[in-house]
Amino acid sequence: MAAELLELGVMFAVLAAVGGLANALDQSVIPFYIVAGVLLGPFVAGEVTTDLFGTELAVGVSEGAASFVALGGELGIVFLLFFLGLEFNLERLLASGRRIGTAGTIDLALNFGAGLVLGWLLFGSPLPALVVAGMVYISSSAIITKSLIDLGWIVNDESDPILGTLVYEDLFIAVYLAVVSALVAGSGDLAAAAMDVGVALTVLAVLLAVAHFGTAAFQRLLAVDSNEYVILRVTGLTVLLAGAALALGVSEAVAAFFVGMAVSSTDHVTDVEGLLEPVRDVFAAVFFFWIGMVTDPGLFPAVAGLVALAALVTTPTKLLSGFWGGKVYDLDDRRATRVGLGMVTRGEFTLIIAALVIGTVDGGGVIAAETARTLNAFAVGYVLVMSVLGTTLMQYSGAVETLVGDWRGRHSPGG
Amino acid sequence: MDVSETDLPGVGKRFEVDIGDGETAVVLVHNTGRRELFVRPDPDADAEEVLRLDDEAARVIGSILEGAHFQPKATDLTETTIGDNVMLEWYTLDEDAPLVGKSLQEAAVRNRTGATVAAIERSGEVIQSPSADFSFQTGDQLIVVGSRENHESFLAECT
Repeated sequence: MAAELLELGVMFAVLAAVGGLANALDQSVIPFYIVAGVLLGPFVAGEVTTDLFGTELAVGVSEGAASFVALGGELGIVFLLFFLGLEFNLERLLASGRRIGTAGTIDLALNFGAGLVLGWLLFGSPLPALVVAGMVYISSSAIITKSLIDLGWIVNDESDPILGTLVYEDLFIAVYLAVVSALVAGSGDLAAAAMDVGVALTVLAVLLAVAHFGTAAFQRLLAVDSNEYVILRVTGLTVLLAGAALALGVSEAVAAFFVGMAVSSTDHVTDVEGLLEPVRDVFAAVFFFWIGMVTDPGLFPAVAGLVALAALVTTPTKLLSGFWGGKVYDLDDRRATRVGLGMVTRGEFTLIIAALVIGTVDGGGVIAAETARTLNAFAVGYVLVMSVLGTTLMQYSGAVETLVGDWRGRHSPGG
Repeated sequence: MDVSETDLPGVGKRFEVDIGDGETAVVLVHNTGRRELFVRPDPDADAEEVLRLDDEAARVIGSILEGAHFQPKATDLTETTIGDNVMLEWYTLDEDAPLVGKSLQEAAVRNRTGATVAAIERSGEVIQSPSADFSFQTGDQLIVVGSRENHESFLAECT
């Protein structure tokens, strides 16, 4: 027990340290947490032992602590999706539907489409292609929103299409995760797959109904004066339903998303957000650490080409779909360029899809174990590149805006 | 005046107010309670951050801007100093104050305390330089002039 506690202490201390480093470098914390996980994981530091106080200890996270980290990471996914649901507002989406719908569909068609083609060419099979498409399509709400605030773009017009498109992506990923988790855990048989997807969509509909009609019950459940009870009730409800969903073979992340949506229509949404944000942040950090930990860096050289190719293809597609989305919102060239730059960053959702795939390795899913590990290493490498690239592009947007301005000046009629 | 309001999912709300000359004031209210004030010099420009406030500071500054800010003193004494030592203070007579029911002459305020009752506010009316037969009542607000020592003895003997 002592050894495991010490290892967890090392993990949290390292997370705190690299978080501070990321902040000092004006970068997102996510790639730093992942790298910390890779370095302390079984493939790197796990091989090394040290003699401390006469006891032989693993420098990295050993098997005992790893099971906690894996569960903690799972909680991270649940809380990330719970918050997504909490901040998701269906009425708002429907009210400003036309522009969000148009910009979001352009984003989906270009990036998901590019991912499907890329995945098919690389893996030659529909399911990995679908996985790659999801991984390269979904931008990172967490990193992008933080950058928008840090750079002050949040008060400018470019934030509307960026946040609007992210909301569209959030809704899409809820359905996507439900379908893909059913597919990867299934038997591979087409009829069985259709059945699994049918079950997943039915559960989705039930959850949506619970979220919609359960508001009064949630309202009563959360009407307590003590912060402690609010935290425990929300956590109990969310984790219980997420766990039950997973036991039924439905994505736990999607269940958490709908619990979040249900809570968001109660009066307690602000309290819940304030109280659970620190809980989410801790477990999200553990999730990023965990995904790094289960990634074999030995696979990086093999996937480097894939990552480079994906970055080369899906950076321009996001730039283009973002620029076009900005035009749907009637923005000028400069601001539309920013929308494109803002959407480049990929992060937590790409990794959640990776977690879904790597989770099937032991259980014998449809995707071969080797392919699953490659997909996971690809996702991790891709996020490391795209999160740093996206954040950096936003910081140096001025130069890109000038380039686009010059280019458009030369190519526009009479320019 | 036109105020536009935009929801920012995961962040909070943004309010924009046209403040004339093509300038726009932008207020960003975070879900955490933090407020940020930006000014956009012209419609095409990027907004520049002016102030970043926590919830409490934002409320105080907001009420000052609104003209509604009034910070009552902790005690029910309000004092103003004239010169080095002479102070003006307001006192309210409650029903068991020794002065209640006495005339100014009977009370002999100046002889006993050194302080001078300069004026009395009663039911919204101000009685300036009250005459010797002026009679104190419960609820009278007295404006009293004197040194700190005078005020201390007034407080002890008359209220």
